[in-house]
Amino acid sequence: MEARFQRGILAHYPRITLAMVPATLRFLSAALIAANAYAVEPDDDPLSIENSVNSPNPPRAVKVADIDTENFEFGLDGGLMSIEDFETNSTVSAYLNYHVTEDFFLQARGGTSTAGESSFERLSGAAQLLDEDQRELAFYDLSIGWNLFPGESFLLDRWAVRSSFFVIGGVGATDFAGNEAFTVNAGMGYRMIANDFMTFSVQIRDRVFETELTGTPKNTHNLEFTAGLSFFF
Amino acid sequence: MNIHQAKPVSSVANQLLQVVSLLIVVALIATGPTARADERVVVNTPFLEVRTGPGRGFPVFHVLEQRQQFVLHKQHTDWLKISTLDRRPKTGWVHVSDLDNVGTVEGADIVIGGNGKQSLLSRRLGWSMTGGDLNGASAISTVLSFRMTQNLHVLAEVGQVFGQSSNATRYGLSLRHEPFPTWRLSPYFQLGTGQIDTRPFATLIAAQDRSDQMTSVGGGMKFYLTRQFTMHVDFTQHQVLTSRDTNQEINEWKLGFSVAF
Repeated sequence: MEARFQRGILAHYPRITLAMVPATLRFLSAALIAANAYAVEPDDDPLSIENSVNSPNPPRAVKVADIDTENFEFGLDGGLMSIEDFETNSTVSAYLNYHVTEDFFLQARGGTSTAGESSFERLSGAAQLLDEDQRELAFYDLSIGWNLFPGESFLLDRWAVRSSFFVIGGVGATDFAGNEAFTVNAGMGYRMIANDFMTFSVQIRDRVFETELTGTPKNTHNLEFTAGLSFFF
Repeated sequence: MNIHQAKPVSSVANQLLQVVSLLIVVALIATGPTARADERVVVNTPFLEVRTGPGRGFPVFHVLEQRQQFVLHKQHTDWLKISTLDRRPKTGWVHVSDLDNVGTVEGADIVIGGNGKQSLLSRRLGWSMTGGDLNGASAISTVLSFRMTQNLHVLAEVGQVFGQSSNATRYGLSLRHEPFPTWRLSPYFQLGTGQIDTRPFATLIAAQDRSDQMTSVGGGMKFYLTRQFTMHVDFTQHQVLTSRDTNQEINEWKLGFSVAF
């Protein structure tokens, strides 16, 4: 009884049989041939001027290579930052490099550190120059780096590591002591390229910005020593 | 009672064969005329030097001869990673200019993506970083640009200004016109609008954060340096539309570096 009911419903739908597939495929292949016909270079057109009887060499087809480019590098850094007057503290940062040529690259970097107590605060016992929020140092900068000595370095007898020494400098901002100051940074580093996508680097940078904590404005030099790992993509 | 006529086995096999053969034909036609990465190419010059890394500082460790085939993998700046087709394949890097004369196995020429000044016109997105002086205060900003036509760009800018008595953040949207985009030294003219949010330092009495609209007119010169990298020098005059009686006119000089994607 149920079977008859089901067959009744299905009878209204067209039966897709194996016999229909060749017809569909014939249509599909014809459509694709037509589509690809437009991709043929004009030089292959027998009516074009280039293909006239007088041209000496038959024109060659040209293909454009679609190759994946890997110029971006994302990395994480960690190390020490010596904040002038406020001890040496740990720092972490993240950076994005764009390699323009084999010689130089652009970098956008951001990081953070927490300042310790200054000698004045420790010796005076009472007066605190900065509150908790103001002790957080955050920075960002935009820099240009130059790969000075690219080549291979050799570790013991067996390993050759692709490496390069680089110098880097740029401008940015540092948020410290409740104030955001214009910062200039300059430094250098050494990069070891482990394989195609991973690089290990160490660097030292000086961040120079102006503070007015003591009443008179002065330029502070804050040295940063970090090591990091980065990935190409 | 329905009696279904059983189909003979050979006719079903025939249909299956037809389907399979047509599937193969469809698959072959569906692949277009572009060369994919990992495609085999042939050396057309007398020799091709292969280095261990993507730079002139890396040594040449292998040389490919004419009519030898190799495979292209990926690109890093001006260098392409290739591998040979030996029993133990060697992997190395070749400079893109050395590949001016490679072809496919069938004999077609291969063009490896443009990187010179001409390619700037086909690249739509751009990113710049600029630093300069805004009315005596240091200013840095990043700019994202979109090329609408050969001569016209739309730019979106976000920047920070560091002054003696206040800091500011500014946002701008502008239109840039480059009458001669193919010149190595190319002038441009820019019109824009934006907003500047000023935060006076806490040490000043009765100073409040304020947000003002501003309009900008300016121009500059763009220098093509290398690959998709350009430098530009800019002068802009901003009119800050303040809530006071008179508008404030401020001048800005800046130096910037841009990359085109």
